[in-house]
Amino acid sequence: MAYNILIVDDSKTARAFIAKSLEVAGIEIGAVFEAENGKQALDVLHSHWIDIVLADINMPEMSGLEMVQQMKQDGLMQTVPVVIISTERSLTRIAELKAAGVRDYMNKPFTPENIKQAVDRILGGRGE
Amino acid sequence: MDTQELLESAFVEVLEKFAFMFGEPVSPSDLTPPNDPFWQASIGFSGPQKGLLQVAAASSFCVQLAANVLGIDLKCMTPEAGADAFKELLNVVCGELLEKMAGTDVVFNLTIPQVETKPPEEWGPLTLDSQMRGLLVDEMPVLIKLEMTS
Repeated sequence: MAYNILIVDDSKTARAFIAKSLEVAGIEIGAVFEAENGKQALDVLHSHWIDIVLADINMPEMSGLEMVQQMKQDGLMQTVPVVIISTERSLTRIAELKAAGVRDYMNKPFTPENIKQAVDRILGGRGE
Repeated sequence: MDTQELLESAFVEVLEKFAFMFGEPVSPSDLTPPNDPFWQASIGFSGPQKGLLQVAAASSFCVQLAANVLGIDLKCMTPEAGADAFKELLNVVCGELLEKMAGTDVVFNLTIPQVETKPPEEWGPLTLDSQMRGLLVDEMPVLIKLEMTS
């Protein structure tokens, strides 16, 4: 099964690095969508079927946390799993993200293996 | 380790993991200044401690960084891609540094990284700043500085 993946990060480099890591990890990808902030991500989620969202926290216009909070208010988006990929290391902040509904969390820098483990944990390894 | 040593350590570790580039500490005055305009990036943080992290490097470093991170031929890289990779590097270094300095029990807020080009003649005065640290990364000069404001 191929997954539609939405990558949300204000850094073009970070988005490209995540996309490359997905490819290197051997995850079967249907389509990769990109957004520069939470607001753009919500627009993509409104118009496309997305299997998983990989998002940064610290972004202009709308943060990753605000994006997740808005997704949880929307009947169609609330079940889409979100993995945060960020430089944030605070356990308090990570707990706050998980309480808001974030499914998993990864530190930058990460390896393709880290991203594969996170996607497999959430989507059940069906992308292999 | 003191704060400046933690900064060098965080920068070198992230550079290796993120871009497979290798750096070693060098006195800023011993670095060969870039002949062309260079990039200077900064990111602020606030929380239990407040400060500003800055990094300066030749555009050739930034373009090489982008090529390594993305696994794309150097010839295909643009200066804009280099500048974006430079900002992302600083963002990741800041996260690593704050963990080394304060652990994971405290919350910091980071600003969005900013980057600007500077004329080559502005490199020299940076090396005279007593808080500035130098690194030689794959034979390219890099300056880093952590300024604590409270």
